Amino acid sequence: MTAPAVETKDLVKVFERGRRTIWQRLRREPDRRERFSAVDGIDLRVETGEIFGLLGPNGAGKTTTMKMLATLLIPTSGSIRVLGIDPLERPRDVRARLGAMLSGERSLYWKLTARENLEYFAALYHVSPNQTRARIERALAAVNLSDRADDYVERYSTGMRQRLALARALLPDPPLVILDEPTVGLDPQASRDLRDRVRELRAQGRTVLLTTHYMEEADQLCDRVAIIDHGRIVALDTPAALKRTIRAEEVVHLELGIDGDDRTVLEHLGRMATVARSERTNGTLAVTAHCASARDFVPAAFDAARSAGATIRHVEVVPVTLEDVFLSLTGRALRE
Amino acid sequence: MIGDVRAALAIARKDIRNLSRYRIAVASMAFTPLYQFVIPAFLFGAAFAVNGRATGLTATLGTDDLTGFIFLGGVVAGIVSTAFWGMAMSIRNEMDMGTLEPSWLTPTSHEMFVIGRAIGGMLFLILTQAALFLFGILFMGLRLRPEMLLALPAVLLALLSMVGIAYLLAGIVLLIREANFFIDTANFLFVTISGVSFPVTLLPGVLQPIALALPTTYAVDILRVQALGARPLFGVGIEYGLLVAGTAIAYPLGRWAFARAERTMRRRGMLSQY
Repeated sequence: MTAPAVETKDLVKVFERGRRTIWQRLRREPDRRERFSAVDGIDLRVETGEIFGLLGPNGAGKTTTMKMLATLLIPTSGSIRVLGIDPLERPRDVRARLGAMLSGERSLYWKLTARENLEYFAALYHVSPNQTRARIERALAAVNLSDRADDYVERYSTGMRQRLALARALLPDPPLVILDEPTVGLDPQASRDLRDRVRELRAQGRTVLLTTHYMEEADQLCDRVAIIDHGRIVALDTPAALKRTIRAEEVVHLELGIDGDDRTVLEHLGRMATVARSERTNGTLAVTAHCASARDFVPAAFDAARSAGATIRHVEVVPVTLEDVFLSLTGRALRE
Repeated sequence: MIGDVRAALAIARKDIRNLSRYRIAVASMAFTPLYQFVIPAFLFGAAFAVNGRATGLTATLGTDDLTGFIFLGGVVAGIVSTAFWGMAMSIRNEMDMGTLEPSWLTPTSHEMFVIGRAIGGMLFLILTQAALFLFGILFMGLRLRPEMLLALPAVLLALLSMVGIAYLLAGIVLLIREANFFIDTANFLFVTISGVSFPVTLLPGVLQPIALALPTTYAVDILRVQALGARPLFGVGIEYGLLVAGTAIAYPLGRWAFARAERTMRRRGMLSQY
């Protein structure tokens, strides 16, 4: 059995909020800082050669987890193995085998060219001088930047800078690549392009661990997804299996106009489908319902609304997505 | 080890490349000490000269070469400034820019980020000092004696001790919020107390023990003794001994403080707080 690329057990990271002054320390005053768990007992096993996604809203603990794996953060408790190595004991060995893209376009020297950036980072990755040129050419080709290699990074678009950051992560020829929100801030075309590059990494036999709060990205790209919320993994499986867990074929978004109490109409709708979410704003009630068949549910919903004195203003039927899985598990949308 | 040395050289090359793209900034590196330190100090000294002779300086140090006194002080001021701004503060600047995190994700020892900057900073120091000396020779009557080369070991030792202090400072500025203010103030105090612009014997009594604890005080003193024939504070041999002792303390202490700061950052997750 092959060793996993990443394995964590009961991983915890607690941060303190606020400051403790030197004066307070000298006077040995009790530490009254508020503590919160950014990561709260994560067990993870990423198999070699897969694209594994950590999906969750902002502040869920995805980046903190990545930073602990990348040796940038020391966990409060729990254990980590990256490619079989303990990052706390041998951080430099982990860094030598890890390609990481954590902070995107800001992590580059804008007054240097792409090639100069990569020359610099190749030296930091201890790539031997006789291999440096070939590694740089290969990394540039992998992200389609060979023709712009001698341009200053300041002249690049955001998408090109993201791709260059990915090229940098490939310099050590790493078996494991970790990407933190790789497509954030990119236009759809640039996002698609970067996802294609990530698929190529898997085709080359590398393991990819990425975080995202875009459900489509996790759905399209990942072999397995861990849904993370408030520092805990709430579900972990393939995207298809996760979508099956909500036991619905379709999702119906309704917008109802209603003056009085909305409990009756929600009760009626709840008899025909699972009401995953409802939100009242003045005279408008937005409902997300998971159902077996929209063809049966929608006419029944019109009847239910009419009998409760409400009118349906808008209906949208969509297939089940990971967003719905997150909604059904946490009661909140990913973007909230 | 070889990988780390190559990485340190790459850091120096990157700094030089990066800075060379800001030509006005490079020019200001040579001219700032001139208008902020050399010319004001020279004019101030000249204002108190009697018949063109710095008699007060002669009485205190045994030399009336005011220009030499100021320019040689400028060498040590340059070393201090390179350590404070070029080595320590530039690491903080990288953190603020967002480029420190990817650099620290590589297998290069994090200490190399100070060493690499020391190499790059030393190159800039040589260039700026050469420009300053040229200006001094052409316009201010600066005369250099070949004997000043005898003080080269003192300058190198001062540089090494300042690398140690740069480690310490880098550890501090990575952790504090007001890094710019701290470096600016500490640089000013360090330069002033080291006796760069006036003899340390003129410092108020409480500051003199601090001056005598700084390796740079002895470096500037030895430099002036060798180059100008000035009277030493204690004797060159003793001062070399104190300089070696100061370096032997500053270097490991700085490395220890830097390692502690790095661990604190990894514990608190401060690396990407920009």
